[in-house]
Amino acid sequence: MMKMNISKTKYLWILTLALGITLVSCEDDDTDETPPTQNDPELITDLILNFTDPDTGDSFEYRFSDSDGPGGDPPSIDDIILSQPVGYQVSITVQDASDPDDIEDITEEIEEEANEHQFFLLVENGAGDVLDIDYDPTDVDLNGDPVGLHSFWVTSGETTGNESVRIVLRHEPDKTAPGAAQGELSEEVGGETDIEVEFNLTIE
Amino acid sequence: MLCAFACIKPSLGQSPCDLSISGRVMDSETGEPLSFAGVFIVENKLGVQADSAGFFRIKSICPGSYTLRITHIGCLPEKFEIRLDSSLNRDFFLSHDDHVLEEFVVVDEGKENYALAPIGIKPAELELVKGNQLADQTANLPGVNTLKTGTNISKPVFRGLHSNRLIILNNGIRQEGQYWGSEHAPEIDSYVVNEMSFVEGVDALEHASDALGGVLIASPPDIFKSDKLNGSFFSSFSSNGRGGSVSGSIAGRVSEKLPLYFRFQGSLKKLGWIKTSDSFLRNTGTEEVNYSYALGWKNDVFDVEVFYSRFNQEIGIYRYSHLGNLTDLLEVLSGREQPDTLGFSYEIERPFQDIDHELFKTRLGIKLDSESSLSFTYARQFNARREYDIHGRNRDEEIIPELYYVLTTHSGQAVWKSTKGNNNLRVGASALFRVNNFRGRGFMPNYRNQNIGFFAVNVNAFGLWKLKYGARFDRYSADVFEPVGSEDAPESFVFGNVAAAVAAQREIENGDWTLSLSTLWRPPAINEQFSQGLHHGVSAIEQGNPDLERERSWTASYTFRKVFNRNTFLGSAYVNYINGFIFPKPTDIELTIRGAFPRFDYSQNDALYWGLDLMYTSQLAEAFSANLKTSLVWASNLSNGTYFINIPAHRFSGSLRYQLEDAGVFKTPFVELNIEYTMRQYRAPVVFPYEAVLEGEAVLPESFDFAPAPDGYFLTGLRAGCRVKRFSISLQAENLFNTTYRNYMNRFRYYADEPGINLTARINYKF
Repeated sequence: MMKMNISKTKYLWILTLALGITLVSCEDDDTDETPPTQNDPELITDLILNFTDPDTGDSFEYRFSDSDGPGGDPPSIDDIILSQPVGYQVSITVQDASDPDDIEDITEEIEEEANEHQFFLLVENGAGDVLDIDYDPTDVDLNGDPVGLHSFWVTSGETTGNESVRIVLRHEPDKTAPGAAQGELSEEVGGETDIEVEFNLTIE
Repeated sequence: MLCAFACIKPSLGQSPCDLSISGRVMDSETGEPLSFAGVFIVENKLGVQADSAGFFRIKSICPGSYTLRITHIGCLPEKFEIRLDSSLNRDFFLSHDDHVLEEFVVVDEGKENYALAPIGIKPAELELVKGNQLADQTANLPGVNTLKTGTNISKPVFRGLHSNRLIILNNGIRQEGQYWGSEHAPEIDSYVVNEMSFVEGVDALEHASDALGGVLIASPPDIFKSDKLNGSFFSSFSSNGRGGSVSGSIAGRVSEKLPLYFRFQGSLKKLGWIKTSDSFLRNTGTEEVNYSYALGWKNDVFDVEVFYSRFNQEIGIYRYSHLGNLTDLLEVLSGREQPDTLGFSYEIERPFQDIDHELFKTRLGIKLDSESSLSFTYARQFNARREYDIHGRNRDEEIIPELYYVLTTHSGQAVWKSTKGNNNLRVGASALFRVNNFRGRGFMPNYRNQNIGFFAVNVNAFGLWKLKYGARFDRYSADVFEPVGSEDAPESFVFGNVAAAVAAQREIENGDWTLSLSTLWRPPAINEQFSQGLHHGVSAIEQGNPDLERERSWTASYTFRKVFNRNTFLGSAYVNYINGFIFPKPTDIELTIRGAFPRFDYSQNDALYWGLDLMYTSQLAEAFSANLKTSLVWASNLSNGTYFINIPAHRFSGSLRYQLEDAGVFKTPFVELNIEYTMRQYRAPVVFPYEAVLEGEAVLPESFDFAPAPDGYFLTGLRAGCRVKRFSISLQAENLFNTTYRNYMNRFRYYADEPGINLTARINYKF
């Protein structure tokens, strides 16, 4: 008789516990976060090349812009038009401009994580004959490896029509891969592509 | 077989007392046949003894209700209530469990009959694969395959169809999660599940109209199963991943006076990085914490059940599957070496997924009279899925998911069942309400769904024939909010349509055949209408299409089963024509800030799926048994003659099992060898012509894949086990020869090999 009572009490405890869990659980979730809509924290829409001619003090910019992100409307891409022979200082700005009232500068984040990022500025389709691009030697990460946000572009002739410049941002590249320090993008560099845009180049 | 067809007698002219009961007696724990079990019909005192392989047959029985008493040395006798309208052939399971008292297992007529019993996995078979992912546990069933994303995400594929087209019924409730993508696995603790089966055609109508690929029914143990305190402990430890899982449960009846039953259950899982044949796959660990409980109360008229389960999972996604753009993918496919992954770790780093799923269910059953009953079910599900990209941004020290969905679903169902003579009728209504919200990347918009359905299913038995037919009407509506519409002015859609099915089934000597015809329909899912954006892992832009119409299937299937001597044969052939089949179709090359990507738009074409499922089991000798199995499926896009991607390649498997003599405390020891051959999918889409297309020189193919289908492969496995008192112990070796291979049905086949050798030890205890 006594024994039975004990086991009954035990069961009652289990039961109480179970009901407790039900109530707690349900309450938990009824007040649960229904997440409010918010922008993609990783979206990049714009890449801007800011040119400065140190001799004249002139500055201007060329832009790749896809404000609705991947898909939807096609992006708008400026043609780069430069003079020669001139040495330009070029800096890169990256933005999330999907909301025109709240443009977010992503360049800072790349600077913060400079060790894990590198821009490659590639002269293509014969552009190498008339344009030389070098990293700004002061633009380095904590290990002294280039980041590529700042560079020098030196023009030395006129373009003939097909020339282009490709800008690639790699995440977690192997910065010690052969040629990487000089801005050469080989397969050994690896990592993954965060940005890859191509601008038509005209040098007059 | 010819004779069987030739011997069909007009059913009405059949003399009433020539029915038979046949089948096999097996141990419910181990699935072992119980040789020389005694089978006895209490009412008319007819009895036989099963043979050494557990097979028996009792002839010349009149239609009616009977109690079958089955005895075996070492088991307590058990009674089974059966209703005999036509000859019955089914398996009977006896429990070796000395705690379970003699109990009545009420067999629901029209459902448990061998011929109508769906293809499924019994608890005993499930025990041998405990600890595996839910979908992988079903992979041994005929017609079933899995679609994987890496090593930790796996979802079931039935006869070539999956995701939106395959409904999973978890504890009687339609599983509601973000299950539409291949990287979303069903959020169910596999340790809760005690039994699984697939149903289609008429049997699926009661559950859904949109289950074009069938319904997977995953059921927990019956809460009213036993009056005694009982419980179990399962554990599984694997060498690959250096981890495993444990689960415990306890169940029983509160007191003899009070018909209140309970069950508590919980499980934990932890696995580290998985190793291929030669290297570790970085960031492929997984962690799970799950628990559930159930309470039940019943008397002669009412039964009430409450069930609650919570699932929490964190899954690491293979680090090098996350690529920036098509150039990266091309480099990987051309053999770019991934950084060294020789070390092992348990760490789960970015990218990873964190998933919570909660199910609350309550059910009320009312027995109206001896012939009819009513049941009401209400369920609420809550699914939160957080996906973290490879390099997200952490705000204020808080890790913020890049993709965050919260899906809340309420569903209810009322069913009236009536059994009058040879007629079994089910009529019901169901309603479902779904709210989805997102945060982060707007791949899917916010939306609300309502679905109302009405169904009626009837089963008529006369003589050797059984006719099943049913129909279902559903009205589905969707309101789509940001960023497509707004809270005040949502984009709204309404679809309404009818699904119907009919099946004729004929008993033959020791078997049956079934011919089934059905037509089901499915409204376009929200992701098919409105998904928009970049899929990082697959280097593709996906674009929904709001103008999609419903898709409709027309299915015919024929199933034949027969037991002859010690052999069991099962064969199914099916044809599934789908009008307006919705799928992502390559349409364009699109330029983004990450470079160029192929764009897939959801489109509709007509599709044809057809196939064969064959299974043959033979008791070769006293201690030897063999099993041969194959599932073949073909699929074509009828509109342009191309192939669909991710259609399972042909697979053939065989196993040989040897039952050893008991040795001391080691009871029923066995050894089993499994060999499986998977062919190369030779009906795969063409390979994407990268260079040409990116240079603008080639037309985009109408269907393509990024890489050719991997070669075929052989896999060998070994299993051994035995019982010691209440413990059951088993050892399993998978991919015994550490074969290097890639699986066409794994989305990560572009990046990584499949796991290498894996040794798993399972120790289970039941009381």
